[in-house]
Parts: sequence; C-alpha cells; structure tokens
Amino acid sequence: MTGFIQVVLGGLVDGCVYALIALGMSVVYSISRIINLAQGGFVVLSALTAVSLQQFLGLPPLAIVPIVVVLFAAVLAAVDRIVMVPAAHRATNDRMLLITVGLLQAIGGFVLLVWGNLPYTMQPFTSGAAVTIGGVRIVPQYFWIIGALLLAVAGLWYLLHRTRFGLTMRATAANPSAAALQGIHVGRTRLVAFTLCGAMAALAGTAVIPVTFLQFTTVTSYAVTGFIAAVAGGLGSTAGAVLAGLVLGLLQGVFSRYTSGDLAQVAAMTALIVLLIFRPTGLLGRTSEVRR
Amino acid sequence: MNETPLLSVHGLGRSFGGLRAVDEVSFTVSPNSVRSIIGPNGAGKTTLLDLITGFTKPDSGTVEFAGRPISGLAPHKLPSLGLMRTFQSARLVPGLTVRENVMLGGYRFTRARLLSEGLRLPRTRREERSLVARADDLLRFLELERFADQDAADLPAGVQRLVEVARGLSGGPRLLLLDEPAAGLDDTETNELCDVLRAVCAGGISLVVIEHNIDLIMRLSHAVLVLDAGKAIADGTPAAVRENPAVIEAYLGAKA
Amino acid sequence: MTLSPADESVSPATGTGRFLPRRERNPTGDGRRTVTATIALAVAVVLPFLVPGITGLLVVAAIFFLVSLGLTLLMGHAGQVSLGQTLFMAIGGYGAGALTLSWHWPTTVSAIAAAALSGAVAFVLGRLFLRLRGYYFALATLGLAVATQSLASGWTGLTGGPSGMVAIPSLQLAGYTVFSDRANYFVLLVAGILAAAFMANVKRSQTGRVLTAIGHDPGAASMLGINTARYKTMAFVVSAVLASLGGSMYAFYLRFMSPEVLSVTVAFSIVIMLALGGARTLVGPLLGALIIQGLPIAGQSFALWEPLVAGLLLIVVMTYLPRGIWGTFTAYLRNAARRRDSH
Repeated sequence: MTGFIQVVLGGLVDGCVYALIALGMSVVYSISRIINLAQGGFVVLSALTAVSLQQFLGLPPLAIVPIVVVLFAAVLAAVDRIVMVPAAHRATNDRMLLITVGLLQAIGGFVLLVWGNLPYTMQPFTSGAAVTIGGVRIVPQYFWIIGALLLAVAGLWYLLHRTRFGLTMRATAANPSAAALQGIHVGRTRLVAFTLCGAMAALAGTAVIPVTFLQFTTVTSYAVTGFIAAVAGGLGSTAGAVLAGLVLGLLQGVFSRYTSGDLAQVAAMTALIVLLIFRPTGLLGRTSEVRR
Repeated sequence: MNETPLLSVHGLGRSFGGLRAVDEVSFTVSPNSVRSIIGPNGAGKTTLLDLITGFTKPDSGTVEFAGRPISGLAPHKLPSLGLMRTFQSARLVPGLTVRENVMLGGYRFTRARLLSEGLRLPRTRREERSLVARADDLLRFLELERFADQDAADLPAGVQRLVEVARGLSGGPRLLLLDEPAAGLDDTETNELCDVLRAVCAGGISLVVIEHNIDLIMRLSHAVLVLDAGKAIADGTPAAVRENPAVIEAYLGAKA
Repeated sequence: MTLSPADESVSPATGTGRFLPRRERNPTGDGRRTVTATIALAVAVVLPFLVPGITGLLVVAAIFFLVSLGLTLLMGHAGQVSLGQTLFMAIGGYGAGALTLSWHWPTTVSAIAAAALSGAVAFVLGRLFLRLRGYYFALATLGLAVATQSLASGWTGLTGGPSGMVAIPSLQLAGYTVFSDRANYFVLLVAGILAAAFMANVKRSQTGRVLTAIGHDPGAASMLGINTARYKTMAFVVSAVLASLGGSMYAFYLRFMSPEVLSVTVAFSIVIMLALGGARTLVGPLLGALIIQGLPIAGQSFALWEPLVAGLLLIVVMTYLPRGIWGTFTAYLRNAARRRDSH
C-alpha cells in the first residue's frame, strides 16, 4: 500500500511539471491561438541552463531559480518578437504549428550541440533529509515543485482577475479580433503571454531537475506530454490544464509501475487520440471549433 | 410545363442568437422556370440558400427536390441529384486555371479513381478529354474562353462570378442556385448575362437567382419571392410583385 | 451545347463529338523541361560513380524522398499536416522484416504486404481523424508518432525492443540480391522516378484538382459534390503506402530496424523536408530530402548540427517562403516569364 502511495506521489510530482507546461501553452493559445509545441522544449532547455549556470557561478540552486526565470521570460519574449510576430503576420494556423515544430526541433538541436546527449541533474534547492510519513518517503524538493505550480497558478490568477491588464488579456482571449477593434494592443498582450510562458517553463525546469535526469531526448517527450495535458484540459482553460497535467502524471506513474514505461506512453497516446476524437474540447474546455 | 414543382421549400426557418434570420419561408420552383429572390440587405436571402443546400442546418421546415426530401442530406450529395449553387463572393480555387475550375464542376461525371489516374489509363484520358471539352464549351457559351488558361484568382470579381456560373453548369444540374451573379458587371455585361441565363433556362435548367438588379429580375423571372427581415412578404409574378404595397414599403423603407 | 440536364452517363461530353485541342504549351518551354530532366537524370546516374563516398547518403535521401513525396497530396494539396508518418515507416520496416525473418516470405512480397497493411491502417485512422478540424489532425498524428516510438521499443516480441530487429535480409529482385549501396541506390532511383510519375499524373487529374479545392475551401468543394473526408482519407492512404515502402527499403538497406530510426524527431524531419522544398511540388521533397539528409556531408561534426539547422530552416522557410524553396523558385520563374510576355 505504501508502495502505491509512493507511486501516486511520484506521479503527482511529474504531473505538476506537465501542468506547468500545459498552463504555459494554454495562456499562449488563448491569447494568440498558437499551439506552442516548443513549450516542453523550453522546460528542458531552462533546466540544463540552470545546471550550467549553477556550476559556473557556484551559487546555491535556489539563487539560480530567479535568474533562470527572468532569463527565460526574456528568451520567450524574444521568440515572440523574432519568430512569432513575423510568422503570424503571414501564416495560417497550420503553418504556425509547423513553425513551432521547427522551434522544438531547433531547441532539441541546441541542447544536443551544447550539452550533448547526456543526462544532467542538479542538487536540490534545500538540503535536508527526506521526510518519511507512514512509510512514504518525501524529499524536500517535492514541496518546491508543488510550490512552483502553486506560485504559477496564484500569480496567473492574480494577474488575470485582479489587475487592469488581466482584464485586457481576458478580453483578448475571449475574442482577439473584437479586442483589437476595441483598441486593445493585441501584440503587446501576446508578448506578455509569451513572457509568462517563458517564466513558467523556467519554473518547471529548475524545480524538476533536482529529482530527475534531463537530456536531449526528453525534449520531445516533455513537449508532447505537456501538450497532451493542454489539449486534455481544453486548450485555453487554465484550470483544465492544471487538472489534466496532474491526472496525466498520476496515470503515467501508476501505469509505468505495473507495465513498462513504453506501454504507459502508448496508453497515454491512445487516450489522447480517443479524447481528440470524442471530446475534442477537453475536460474543461469550451472551444467549439475543433470538429467539423 | 409540368406543374409538380422541382423544388419545394416549406416553413424553412433558422435563428442565430436571438435573431430570426429566416422565418418560416415557403416557396416552390416550377420546372423550366426562373425564380428570383429579392429583398434588402440582411433580409436572409443567402441564409435561405444555405439552408436549402444543407450548408447551414435549419431549425424548422423541409426541402423537397424533385419529389424527394433533401433536408438533412450532406451538401456533397446534392450535385448528383442535380442541384448546384454558386456563392455571393466567388469561391474559385486559386492556383488552378479557369478551365480547371470549370472542370471541377463536372466532378460528378468522373469515375476514374486514383490508380487509373496515377497510371494515366485510357479511361482517365477519356474522362479528362471530355471534362476539358465540356469546360471549353461552357466557357465559349459564357464568352469566357479568352480567360481559360489564366489563374482564376487573377481575374476581376465579375468575371470570377461568371466562371462560377460556368462551373455550376458543368455539373449538369436540373436546378442551379445563383447568388448575385450580376454583382460587379456593367450594363452591357448584365444584358449578356440575362441572355445567357434565358438560354440556360430554355435548355431545361431551372434557376433560383438572388439579385439586387430589379431590371434584370423583371426581365428574367417567372416568379419572384420577396424577403424582408427573414420573412416572405410577397410571392408572385414580377408584375404582381412590383405593384404589391408591402414590397413598395419595404423597399422605400429600406431606402429612407 | 450540352446544357441540358445530363444523365448519369460516365462521359458528359457525348454529343459534342469533338476532340479537344491539348492544352497549348509553350513548345520551347516544354523542350527546355525535357532537357533539364534529362540532365538531372544523367547526373543522378553518374553521381554514385563520380563521388562513391556519398552513395550511402544518397540512398537514405532517396528513401526519405519516397516518404515525403507520399505526403504531398495530403499536405501540399489538401492542407493537412501529418506528423505521424513514422508509424507507416515502422509498419513497412518491421512488417517486412518480420515477414521475411519469421515466415520466410520473399522480400518484395513482404514489402507489398506491409504497404497494404499500412494503407488499411491509414484508411481506418483517416476515417477517424479527418473529422478533426485543422491542426487537431496534425496533433492526433503526432500522438501516432510518439506511440510508434514507444511501441517500437516496448513491443519487444515483435520489434526486438531498443536493441532493434537484426539480420533483416537484403532486397531480392529477380534473383539478384540488392546489397551494395550502389545497387540500393539504383533500385530507389527507379522507384522514386516511378512514384514521382504516378504522383505527377494524379496531381494533373481530377483527384489533384479536387484535393486542391478541398485544401482551399472545403465548404465550396462539398457544394461541387465532393466528399471531402473521402478524398482526404485517400490522400492519407497514399502517404501511408509510400511511407511503408520507404520503411521497407530502409530495413532492407540497413538490414536492421530500431526505435531510433523511427523517433519523433524523424517524424518531424519528414514534414520539414517536404515543407522546406515545397509541399505542392515534386522536386520539393527531393530538394528537402537532399538538404536535410545531406547536411552531414559538410563534416562528421555537422551531423550534430542537423536538428538545429533543420529546425531553424523550417522556421525561416515557413515564415518567408511558405511555398517552400522550389515552389517559390518556380513561381518566380513563372512571373518572370509572364512579365517577358507582356512586353
């Protein structure tokens, strides 16, 4: 029984990362209708950047987090300006998807080039022994990962519902063209969305790398799993993204305990496809334009 | 003239939000006749065509074509029954020539499938030849042959609309629904179009024409349906409709 | 005139009784095209003798040419992106491998059987997926690519797991064993030319026009009597059959198949090759395959750069040259010719 709870806990921790990826994709999607497939790639990239920065600067891991968060907020803002703006000018949604595929491929390539195909990890944010409650072992880093998700959710909620700019963002999400007609600067709103999305990628990456190994090959698997969570939650729904991320992590954890990780992946893909066909709006979504 | 109607529309209606775009509209089209639908902008004319062709699903009402109910049928099944339509803003395929666009209209006559096409079997060659012949005949008939090899997207809007008429005709329909075929044409061209449509009708193809050009309507139609705010306010011969007080009011009201 | 309501006869133009003049083409333009094609063919034939070192690369490029060529109807014309072509390469590769190894079927028969299976799978999946709008189809196929990679390493009984399926025999053609790089290259050259000719014929027939119409405006296409789902499924089946044949050839050439060969990155790079060269053209997939597979020629260490360069290239091309390199080039030539004519 304790073994099972341990598995559930591990799954939920993975789920927090998927939730963060899905949350970032969801924010960008609701503002720009762009599915940023590359989001999972940025998580791995930010984590590896944190590892290298930590080694280079010799700072404690916790001090690295804000640096990486700010850095990736800036990186994604730059991605919006350099890649997305010129592309969105001209391209249809289909081509935008291909562009994010290209971006994901490029991130993978960059990781391969700089870090090689080797697994990396980092020390936990805080030292301290694992707590054992009822036979279930909880390392302190788990609290940091859950904290990262809570921070992102709370921050996003505050921004969207308690600030003037949040109102603008919600109006844009509801109807981008109507918002533009009302004088909302959609381009600026989208820049903010990408910046947020970068910060969330960095939070996810830095929080998770102490408890796992990340490398070139994890780029696509994070991108795809996070994306599945975003779709399952209903693109554009923040609550859905978080819920679906957690559920997905949980299911994967449980599945891979009783079968192999590969079959768990196949099961997840089957679930995605069934979901897309029969409930394309996701668990909590309200996009109605998915199916013809 | 045979009196069983070719098309009969009964109580067709559809709301968008709170707006009743088309409200309980009924009318018939006799074989070998031209039925016009007029009305101010926003009266629901195009929506009515969308409902008839199943492009938009109606809330209420039925449509019968040649004695057979067609409401609820997928739009792509209509051409093989003999019902085709054109769009208000021509929806030709850019990147294909005018001839190729018209050849697409003859889609329902082609039986050659992928393997035969890929291997260029005699059957495909034969079909391609007859499609080209048919398209060129129609282009000549509509005096569009000089545009045959141009990219459809490069043409002025008025010409595109005529190409769409040719494309509709190449499907060999029994009834062709035309959405504002004369928009963007000058007077001479409109007169030519009028002659063409008369010849089409004389050839045994019935027409439903949405039009703003009252003069064209009066010369062409056998029966006119007047829509205002989704409702049919008059239905009769062109002369009778012209004298109808409700029509005069709707038109004057719209202009005032 | 044949304006009267046509009956259901197959030939709509009976009664016109007239042969139609062939589309008038600029005869010198046609001649130039023949010359260009002949030169290209000559180069393709001589290349492995002139630069023997690159024959292996050319074989792989030719395989990916087949695979991405298969996608041009679906992606270039109907406008649906499939990120899951590795599934069909896997059916082709593992399927042909398993049939030859376990059941001792002849290699060609195995490849054809696998292609038929791929086509059937694509038919069923197409029916399901093509109800999905726009890029949700692409996303469902991405799911296929991920599942393929996992199945390839997880279904050990069939695929041999992460270490792969080994000792797959070489292709046997009329008693001749296609073993060397050069032999594989020439088999693929013939296969590529045949496949390209087939696709060229389809593109200029009604199916090509119909798919173009669907890609541009599915609503208007359905009003012409076109069953859009049926045609898109058909294009998906074509893509699957060619991907499967490519996969079988890959297995016969490598004499080995492993999950790494079929990774999600490979699925992406197939789409990248096509988009890069020009999804609606026939030269496009060739150009794309040569660029992406040819990058490592620039040096061993350049293989490391390949994913980065491919990704960046895709971004730049999709942003600035949506028709791809070859598509943009030919459009430029056409415009130049038109300007010359008008003077």
